[in-house]
Amino acid sequence: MIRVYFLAKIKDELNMDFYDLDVKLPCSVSDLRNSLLSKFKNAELFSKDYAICAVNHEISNSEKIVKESDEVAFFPPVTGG
Amino acid sequence: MATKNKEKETEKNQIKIKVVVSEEDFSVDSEYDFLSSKAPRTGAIVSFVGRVREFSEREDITGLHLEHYPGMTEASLNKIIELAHQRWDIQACSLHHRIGSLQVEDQIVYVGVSSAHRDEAFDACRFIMDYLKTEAPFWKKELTQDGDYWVDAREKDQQARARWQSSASDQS
Repeated sequence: MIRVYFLAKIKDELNMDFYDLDVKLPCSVSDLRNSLLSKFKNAELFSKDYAICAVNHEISNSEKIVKESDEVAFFPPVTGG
Repeated sequence: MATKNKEKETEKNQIKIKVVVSEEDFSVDSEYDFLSSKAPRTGAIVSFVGRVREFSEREDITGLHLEHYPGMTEASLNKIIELAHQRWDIQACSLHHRIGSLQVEDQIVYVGVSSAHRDEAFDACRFIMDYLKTEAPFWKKELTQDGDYWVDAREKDQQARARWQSSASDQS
């Protein structure tokens, strides 16, 4: 189990700040993405082209391994400034 | 030669940095004071202020809501300034980005950079803004008469950032 935080449009669409995802750890960011896709059935929101994954505040690619103590967040492409 | 390099490194390490992410507004005068005080080697200060416009893709914007990712956003901004510092001999940098609810004509972001000469300050200021727009975790939601809309990332911002990557090889 790992807590996955959501930000901006992803948070709004799901109407939740975080979700405790039932996955076996360690696993890859790609595994997390697939679990989120199967849980929320929203291919667009969690597609690789849209949802960026940060692990411990670092943008992470699909192969990045996630451990129990890691902070994980999914968010849309940034639009500040 | 080794001594000279060391002196250069020491000078580069003396950069003064201020990064603020806050609902509070900023004062351009105060930011200028931060960049210009006790800076006898500073010959140039360049600053940029981003503001809330009443138009974007839509014409009826009444305000913005700005969200960030606490902790990651501040780290990202510091990293962007460090990248600029590695690239140009800048002496001080102040960056203030607002979050929360903003109205048309409100200030959103301040980036100020000081250096001995103007080229470094102009380039570093623009570099920091171009990277901020594509790297720093902030998200804008536009508020309009018809409802609220999350702003989509724009290709032209990616192109602005890519320009710095392609020009890196030009620098010796």
